[in-house]
Amino acid sequence: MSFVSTIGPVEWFFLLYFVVVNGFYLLLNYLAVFRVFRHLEETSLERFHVSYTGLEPPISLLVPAYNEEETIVTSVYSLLQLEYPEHEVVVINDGSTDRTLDALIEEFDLEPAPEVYRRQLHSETVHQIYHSRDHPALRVIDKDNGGKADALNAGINNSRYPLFCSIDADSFLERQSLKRVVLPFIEDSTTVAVGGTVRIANGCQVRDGHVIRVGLPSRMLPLFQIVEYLRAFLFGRLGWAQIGSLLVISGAFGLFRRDAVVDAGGYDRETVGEDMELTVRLHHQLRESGRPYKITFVPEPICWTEVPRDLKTLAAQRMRWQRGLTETLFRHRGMFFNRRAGVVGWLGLPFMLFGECLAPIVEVAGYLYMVVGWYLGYVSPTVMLLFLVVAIGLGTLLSLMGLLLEELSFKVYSRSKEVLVLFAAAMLENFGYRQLIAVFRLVASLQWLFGVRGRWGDMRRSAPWRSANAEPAAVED
Amino acid sequence: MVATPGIMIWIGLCAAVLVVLCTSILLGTILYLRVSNQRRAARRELHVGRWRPLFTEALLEYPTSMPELTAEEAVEVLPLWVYFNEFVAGDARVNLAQAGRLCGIDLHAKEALRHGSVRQRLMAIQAIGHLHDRDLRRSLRPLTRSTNPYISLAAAHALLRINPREALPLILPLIASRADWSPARVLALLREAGADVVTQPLVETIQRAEVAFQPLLMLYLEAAERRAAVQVIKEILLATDDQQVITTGIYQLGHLAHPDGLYVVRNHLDHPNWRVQLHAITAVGRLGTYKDVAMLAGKLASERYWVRYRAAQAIAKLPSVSSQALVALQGAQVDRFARDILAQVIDEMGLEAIAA
Repeated sequence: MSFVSTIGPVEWFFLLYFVVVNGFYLLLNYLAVFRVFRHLEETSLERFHVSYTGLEPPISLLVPAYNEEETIVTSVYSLLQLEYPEHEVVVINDGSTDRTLDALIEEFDLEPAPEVYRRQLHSETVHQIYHSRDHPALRVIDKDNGGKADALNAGINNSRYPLFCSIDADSFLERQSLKRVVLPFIEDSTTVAVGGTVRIANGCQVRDGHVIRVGLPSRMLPLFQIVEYLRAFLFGRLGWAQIGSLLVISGAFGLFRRDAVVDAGGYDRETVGEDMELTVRLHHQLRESGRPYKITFVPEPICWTEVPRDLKTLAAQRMRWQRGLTETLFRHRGMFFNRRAGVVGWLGLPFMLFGECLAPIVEVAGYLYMVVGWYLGYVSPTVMLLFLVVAIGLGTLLSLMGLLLEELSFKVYSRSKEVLVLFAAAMLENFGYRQLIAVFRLVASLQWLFGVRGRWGDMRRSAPWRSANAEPAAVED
Repeated sequence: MVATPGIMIWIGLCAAVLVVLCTSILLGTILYLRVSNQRRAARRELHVGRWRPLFTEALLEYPTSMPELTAEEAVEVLPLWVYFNEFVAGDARVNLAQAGRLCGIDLHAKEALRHGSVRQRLMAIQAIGHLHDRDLRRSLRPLTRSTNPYISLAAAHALLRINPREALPLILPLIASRADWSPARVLALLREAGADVVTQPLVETIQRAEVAFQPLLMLYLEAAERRAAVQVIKEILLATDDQQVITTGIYQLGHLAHPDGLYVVRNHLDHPNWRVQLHAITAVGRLGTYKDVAMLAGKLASERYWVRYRAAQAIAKLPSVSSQALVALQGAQVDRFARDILAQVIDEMGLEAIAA
């Protein structure tokens, strides 16, 4: 009996699936290497150049806030302190039921302003726009609750500058983040959106909303997420950007051309994955219209965010992401293999469907089939071993590649012990964590299939660094 | 189907061993990189610790002798010397160049230019620019045509530093044609060269340039003398009907804020393209007089929010327009949108005054 005939078609399918998907990600990492090195060369002379050139377009920072009473004041202060020639901060109080608005009014001496509200994008009713007496660059929009996408639309309606930056309330920015992320807009006038690298703040020391010392969390769950962010969100996205098919600009941090987003209809209020949906819609409309455009990614650490520390929050987050992905792919199914959709329609979206959207189904089914089959004796130990090699072994290699790239480029984690801890995490996350995430995502896919309505869920944050009397504090891990 | 042992077992085992091997290699590489980075950092500290005081001393007194820079030291010391140069002027710069020549920076830069990595070559180009070395300058000329935009732009920058008058005829045609050069950096280096040197050749380049390149080149007029810049923009605006050129030209006239541009921007207040109108309104706000209130007030009822908003802002910024005059203007408006936008701007002005 030949080698090929000893493996059944089902086993072949699972084995090949993992080989193709992990192999493609390895290829993306490989592409990311070129981009990173080019970027490092490009910035090697940066410290010798004049800080600002006068060509930087002004930026509106949009901060949707829902029940952020404890944290909003520090967040706004840290945004007002960003180093950039001209920027405004627009906080959108999305019908908070706590004292979010009162906290802002008291701290920043807000007063109602007779400002014209332009309704270019649909949003819930805006009650009042406030100006700060102390900080002319700060405005607050008070509106009915409508969700994050709705709040962002209200913010876009009221923003004054040609570029806007959406920022999650649980994220905070590097002081020079705007200066770095605006460069693609200056260098190429066809740029419509730029994503920034989001890093994990758990375990870091933070003062006044800025990271002063990078560290690792001691809990396993955030640690695994660091490896995951390195693998998929940093080098994966960098690889996609390199081939012109970046499909997600994270809601935690993204810079957009206001007119392009308004033309595209703003954020979609009916999906929980509004960040990806907007990015894909921009691709869709600009490709359809035949206009040259660029959606790109800045690899340097720009934005820090706190990730879930407990399983419940993590499950809610991943289910939301999976649902957002599924909804987006379904909505833009017309782009698949469309002759005008280019690399996005012929590679990016099909891979997202095959390697991401369907991944939880194939992964969970694969593990179940192999384990049960091996137990019942219709899958041989050798095939089982091969499966583990391609599913877990290649996954581990992928995680380690992310770590290697980090070591070759930004070296955010400066202590050797931290690198060893991350190495251990990169090995261990393949035994249980990844499978668990696949289960969460499978549940989300089934919920979408059976029409169960998606929701945002609550993020439990430690955020000690955001309290009013913030001493340097570690973000709880 | 039940698998049989034999070759299958071997393949499974080989695959497992391969993965373990790759994992070990990756771990080894990561650790090696970590250790070599630490060693490099220690070396850098050592070399920089030795040379920083020598360069600091050279800033104060023209050096007559310096120790010889070794090849190992040069990797770390070249960036240090370049860094020093970026922050000094006058005699200190002359002293520093002499210190560089005495310790052999020029030789190491030449070597890095031939055999170094892209990063080392970039640093060497910077160093040559600061050394003002005429012999080394020859090696920079071909680099301005390098396909690597960072190398070519750095070479252009270095040549401009060495002799801007001689370098501009070579570099300006490249500025127009190299789409991969960062406009921000180009503008920075033109500014550094100085308006007295840049103005004439830049104006001539713009006059000769194809329409497609004119908008970008007009942005660089910020580095030129304002009167000449305004003059060339006016000439171009008279001769073109390209929307992009007109929009950029009007924007730039407002930005340059020279009174010679006022007549032209006034003439574009009723331009059919609302973006041109927008820039014209902003420019009139910067350059205009009390006489422009009536013309701008006509824009307060525009269907475009931005046209209304900029018109209200422009009126508020005009000389001799008091807040009482603005309130009176608001009261005189029959259009609701015009009244609302003026109310908003009056409020903003009040806030800005308080903040100031």
